[in-house]
Amino acid sequence: MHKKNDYHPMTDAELEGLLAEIGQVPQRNPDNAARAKARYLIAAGRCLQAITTEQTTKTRRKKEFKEMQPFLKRFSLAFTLAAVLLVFLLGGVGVTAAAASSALPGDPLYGVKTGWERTRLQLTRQDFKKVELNLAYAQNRLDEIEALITAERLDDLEAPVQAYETCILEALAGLEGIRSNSLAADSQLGRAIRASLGKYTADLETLSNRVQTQRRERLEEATLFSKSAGAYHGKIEFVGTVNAIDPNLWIVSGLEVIITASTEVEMGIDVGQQVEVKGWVDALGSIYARKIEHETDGRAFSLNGKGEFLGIVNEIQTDYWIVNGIRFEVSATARIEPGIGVGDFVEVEFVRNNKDEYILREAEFALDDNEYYGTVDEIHTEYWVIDGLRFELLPKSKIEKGIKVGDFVEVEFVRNASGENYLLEVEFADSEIYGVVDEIHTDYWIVNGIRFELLPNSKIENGIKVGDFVEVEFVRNQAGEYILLDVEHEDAYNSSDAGYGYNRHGGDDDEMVGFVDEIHSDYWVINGIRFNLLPKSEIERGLKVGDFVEVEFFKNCAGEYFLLEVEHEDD
Amino acid sequence: MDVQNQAPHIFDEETLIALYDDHSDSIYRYAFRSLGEANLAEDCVADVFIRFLERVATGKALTGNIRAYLYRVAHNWVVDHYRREKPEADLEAQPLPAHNANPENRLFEKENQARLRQALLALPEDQRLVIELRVMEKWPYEAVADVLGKSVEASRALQYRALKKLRQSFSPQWM
Repeated sequence: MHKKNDYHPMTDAELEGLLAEIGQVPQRNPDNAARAKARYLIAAGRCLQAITTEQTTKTRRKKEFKEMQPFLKRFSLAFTLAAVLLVFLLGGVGVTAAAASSALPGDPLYGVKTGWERTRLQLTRQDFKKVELNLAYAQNRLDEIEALITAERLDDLEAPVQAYETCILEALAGLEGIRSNSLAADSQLGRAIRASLGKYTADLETLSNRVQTQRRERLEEATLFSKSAGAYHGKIEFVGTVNAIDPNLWIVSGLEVIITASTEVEMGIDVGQQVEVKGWVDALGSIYARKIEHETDGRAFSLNGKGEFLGIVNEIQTDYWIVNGIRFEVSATARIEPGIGVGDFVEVEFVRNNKDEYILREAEFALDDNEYYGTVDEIHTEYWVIDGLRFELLPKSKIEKGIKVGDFVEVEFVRNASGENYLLEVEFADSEIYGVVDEIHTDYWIVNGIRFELLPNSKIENGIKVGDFVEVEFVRNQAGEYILLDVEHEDAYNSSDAGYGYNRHGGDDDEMVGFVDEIHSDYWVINGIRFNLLPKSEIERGLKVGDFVEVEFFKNCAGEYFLLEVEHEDD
Repeated sequence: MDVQNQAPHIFDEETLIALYDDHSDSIYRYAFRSLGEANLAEDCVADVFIRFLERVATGKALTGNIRAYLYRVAHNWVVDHYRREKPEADLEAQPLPAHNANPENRLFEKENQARLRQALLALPEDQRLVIELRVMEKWPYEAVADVLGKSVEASRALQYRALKKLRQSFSPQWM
């Protein structure tokens, strides 16, 4: 039948009915609303302070100022008190107003300007948006650098240059976080970061050409930093012995480690000591340090004897590979994972022979394994397509029996430098998760942010309410909806393998002792670590900041800590 | 409290609080209807009011109706969100209220709702606002006209045109 024959014009009543349907909004979560308002009040207070400051600057010599001062002071004080109280209650939301977008480092309003930027970052919960904000703020710093050069205020350059690099590092860290959750967003953001850094590099080169003093060197460093960050290929962590220390370059176990202005170096490190290096590697295999600190666990890296090595593939020849500038001879027995190409981040297992040559025994992708959930779209002998993404098969790919098109699966994979995904393992996705009930409706529940549709035969344990920790059994239908089969209370706090988050895998229960740094309504900070509170977190009475406590906690898949129990540690 | 057409220099504590109290819930509802997700809607509300404060703090004059301004910022936020995300993924992911347990009917309902959301986003700003305020929020025409800065008759005409466009989005040429 022709489609047009099926068409019946929509009446006003039908349309208004449909509008009414989509107009239905569940009641706003009162906690979220209160929190949002508190943040707004803090920001509003700072906003008024900013206006006050600006007006103070502009009208310092005006007679009216004296008349306005008590008025402004009153509101400023009221808001400051509100801010202090709410910061305490809501977790240290430091919010500052942006009053002077053109302020430069050293100007009175500069702190207000950067404070606003921090506010935006703190109020933004979406990771991709934080990355975008950090890129925007990096551009702000570049604008400031340009303005300072124009104003010949070269002594003030260091702060914005350093802040610029911090913004880039934050953006890259944000990208790492997003990688495990959303491939599409990752590649989109990756492109955005690379494009931005390409522009920043060009800008910095132009700016450094305008500076003829020794300050130029600092701008050139920042240029190099931008180039390397733009070629970001993956993070690297290794332990090694410090062979040499130069302000801009360290040699650690024979590897050159570039130090940027943003590198955090623990005090007191000397040549000959064991250190742990954390940083990233660019496409040429250069290592850029983000952090260098003493290593005391004895996990020494050594290129003597045999060992393992993480690095970027610089060159691939039939009889040798070069990884991070080190040549590895390739024998006929070497086990090399298919798909590895120049630019890939790999783990190399090797031995060193009596001719001081490194013999490659095994090379495999060293990128963090990614996990991905999706519905199988296509199955081919050489590749699968899952939720629109193509995954190449490897000889070692593990495929659970019985998976067919339309099944909802969990995929483990790595991605090479060209952006190709290699499937390591695919299996039916877990049909149960553990999490906190966010919302309860007559026809659906939201647990851990996931919406589960209810069916007439869905089993629901009595007494479950919002905030409870539950186990959910579900299936996923062809439309991609989660259908709730069974939900019941889960006493996960005593379960050694329970994670608080997406599923039971990846959680770690643990204990530690330490000093209470901060106490908030929704989280505590102990020994500098933030522990989120749960509805059932057990907290001994009378604990206060500065107390020495024992904490029982676990860490979820996203790396967040959740407090199970905290009590005085008498020992 | 009427906080319309105030210049930045007379925003004070009381005004800023009243403004938030008056509008944050309705902006939230608007964001939720457009986005279909509570957390996203909260993000939208936070951003809308932060942008408003930024505007106040930088001293740029806020002309026209503040309520309309807030809706406009929220609308831009939503459009920006959909531009950034894959529209089809977002629309499918929205937790739409479903009253009918029959899967086929529910699917049909969801399709219609998704289509209507898209059509709403595509409406000119004043037409979208009249649907939001008059049809969904059930405001009287006088209040809607006040926000739009138009006469009651002009607002009625806008609603008529908006509903016509929405109906057109369900006609065969669009399906």
